Amino acid sequence: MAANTIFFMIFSLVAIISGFVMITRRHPLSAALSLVVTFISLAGLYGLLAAKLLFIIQILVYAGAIMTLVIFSIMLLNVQEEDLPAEERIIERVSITTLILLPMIYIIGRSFTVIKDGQFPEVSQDFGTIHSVGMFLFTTYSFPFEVISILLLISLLGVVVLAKRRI
Amino acid sequence: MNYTVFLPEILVLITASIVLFGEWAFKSIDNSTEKKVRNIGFVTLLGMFAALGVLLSFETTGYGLITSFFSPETSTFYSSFVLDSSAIYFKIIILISSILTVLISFKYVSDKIKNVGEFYALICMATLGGMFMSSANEMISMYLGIELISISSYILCCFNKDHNKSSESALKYFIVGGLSSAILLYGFSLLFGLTGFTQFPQLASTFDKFTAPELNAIFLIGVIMSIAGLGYKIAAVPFHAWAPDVYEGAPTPITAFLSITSKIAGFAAISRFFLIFNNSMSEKLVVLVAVLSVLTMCIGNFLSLAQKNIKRLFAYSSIAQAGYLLMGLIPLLMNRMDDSASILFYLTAYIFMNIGCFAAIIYFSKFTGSTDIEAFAGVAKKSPFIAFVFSCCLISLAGLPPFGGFTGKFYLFVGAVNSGYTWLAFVGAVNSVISLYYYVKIIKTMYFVESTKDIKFELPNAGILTAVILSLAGILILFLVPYPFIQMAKMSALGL
Amino acid sequence: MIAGLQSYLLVSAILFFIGVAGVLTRKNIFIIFMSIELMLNAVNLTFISFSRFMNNLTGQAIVFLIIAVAAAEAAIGLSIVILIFKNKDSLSVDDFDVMKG
Repeated sequence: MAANTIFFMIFSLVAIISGFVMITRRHPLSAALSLVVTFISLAGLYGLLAAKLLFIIQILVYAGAIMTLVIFSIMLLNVQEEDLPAEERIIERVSITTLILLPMIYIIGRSFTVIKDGQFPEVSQDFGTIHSVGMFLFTTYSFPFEVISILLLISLLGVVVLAKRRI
Repeated sequence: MNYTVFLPEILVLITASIVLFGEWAFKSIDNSTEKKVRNIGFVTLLGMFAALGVLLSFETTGYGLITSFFSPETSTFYSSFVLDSSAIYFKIIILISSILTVLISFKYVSDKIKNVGEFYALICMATLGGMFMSSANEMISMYLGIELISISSYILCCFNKDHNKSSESALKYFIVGGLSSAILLYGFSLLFGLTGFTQFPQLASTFDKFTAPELNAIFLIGVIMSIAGLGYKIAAVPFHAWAPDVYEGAPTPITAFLSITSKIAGFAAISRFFLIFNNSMSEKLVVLVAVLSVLTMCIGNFLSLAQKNIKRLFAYSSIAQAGYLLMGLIPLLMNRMDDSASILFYLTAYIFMNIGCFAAIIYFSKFTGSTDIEAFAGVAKKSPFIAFVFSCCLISLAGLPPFGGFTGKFYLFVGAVNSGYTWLAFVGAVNSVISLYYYVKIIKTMYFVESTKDIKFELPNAGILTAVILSLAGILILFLVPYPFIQMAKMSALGL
Repeated sequence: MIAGLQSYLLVSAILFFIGVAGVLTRKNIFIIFMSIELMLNAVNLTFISFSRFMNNLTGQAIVFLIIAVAAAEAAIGLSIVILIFKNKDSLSVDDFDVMKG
């Protein structure tokens, strides 16, 4: 068994388990921490797939910046046990959701098995480096890249508008 | 690369920046909010009119026909962005609807909203998102257009400072929006994985490979998930649950914006996405669209019957209207371009009917202080002209002559019949009759129920009056002389 | 056994549906929000594995853009959550049921 496969198994198991833990925690803080674990193991999977730039970005931006923001706002709001909503009718909700989702997972998983030859080809050394991904971003995807700047301006504006308000 | 194609977008973006960063310059000497709002709104209108003028000049010079869908070398930014005739048409109606939204918002904004500059800047940005969606020739550009309009709308929904429901509605919108954009992206990722392309024309060309049943399964899942993600923007059943709460909680001009501009942008995106399907696939999709259309019409109409709040009623009514409009996608999928102009025509009529209604709702609810239907009792005596236009727009929404809604619906039904879906047109006609009930109920309340309270009505301000007159003129002209507009829609649909 | 494309796609599908389940079952705003982030990550994993499989960097460029959008969305989402928490001192999504209708 190749080392790649062992790492794949470890990372994907950790990602799935901590993802599941995330949606079952009562307090959002512990959920956020287990989501960080998911994100880091996903970064590991990206690394196995030779996505070098995205490996770094996943850790810096997702596990770093976004999750810090989430944890910061949970701490800022000082969420106490009594603030947490009562998860009423939880059994009913869980069973309905399972009934809807299980067939969907089955169908989608089934459809993936038809990809017979799923072996990854050899790729060159600079696959997924900053240079090669950047080339795509500044040529083929230059339009979306420009639009992102407007989007970031909007979110900046939105945060100012929403947070400035006193109630 | 030809930058002229971006001129309308650039103008809208410049307007947004002026309004946003130059808000301080619009302060009037006597520090009145009303004048400030008027100045800022006027600048916004000016920018949008400039963009509209550029687009109209494109339309009349036949610019769009030069850069058509299947000639990537004439589109810009590595064919991420394409300006064909249908994109121009969609952009024109998106701009018209935003202009009308700005017109009806003046009084409301100066009464209830504090951050005026940000408000109009965000409306400009959302309009920009809609314009990008109608020009997107590639998955990611389309996704970014959707996010642009969605994120601006989340913020706009929160703007009402004395309304607790406002921020809650934004949260609901945010959750459903996030969920469906993730679903959309998952669908896109499967389509990308199968073909290796993200540009729609290239996707369309690699299509024949998926005749093998196994690969077809993944493909079908990808397509269905993408349609699910796009369906939320037009509030089609079963992705409609957000609409009533959001429409009720959002500031009324934003409700108008969501029900018109956002819906047009959604249809622009869906029709562009549907173009990638060739004939073998489109047969399955036509059935899916027909089923969605029936469900959307029926559920929207039946749930409207019980509504007490007029904004909620318009949420359900706009769901029902999305159902009629989905019918117009069937000729598009069957490659019958002549009939697929009907969707463009009905969207044009839909702008004018809805804006008339929302102008009246804003005007009346300012004085009655409530958006319940009962509060509208007897308003016809106080303000006969606005009530008259409101009634005309409602009758037009129900699809009765002599208004543009009738012509639009007629063409939609004819398109469905010509495509072999007579039963669908029949269901649509039955639904129009049902919808008459709740539309007429509003008219009855306005004219024949005595008001219990004695409320003083001021004269409507210039913005609302202009919007009301324009909407009445719009629905009348679209009924009386529909031919030039249908011709224009047909020319634009050829680009599709 | 060597982990191929199918296994990666399966992992991403499972993560995606864990996210969907989180949105549908929980009432806590923060957890719903994080479930949406998890779904976006699952999408990213799909894009990256297809991109590796086809030796085509397009997928990675797309993921870069998606991460940027997710960051923008996260900022807006969290400020809406903070606004609501200040308004009504609760983290629950009241009478709001995604499954309703």
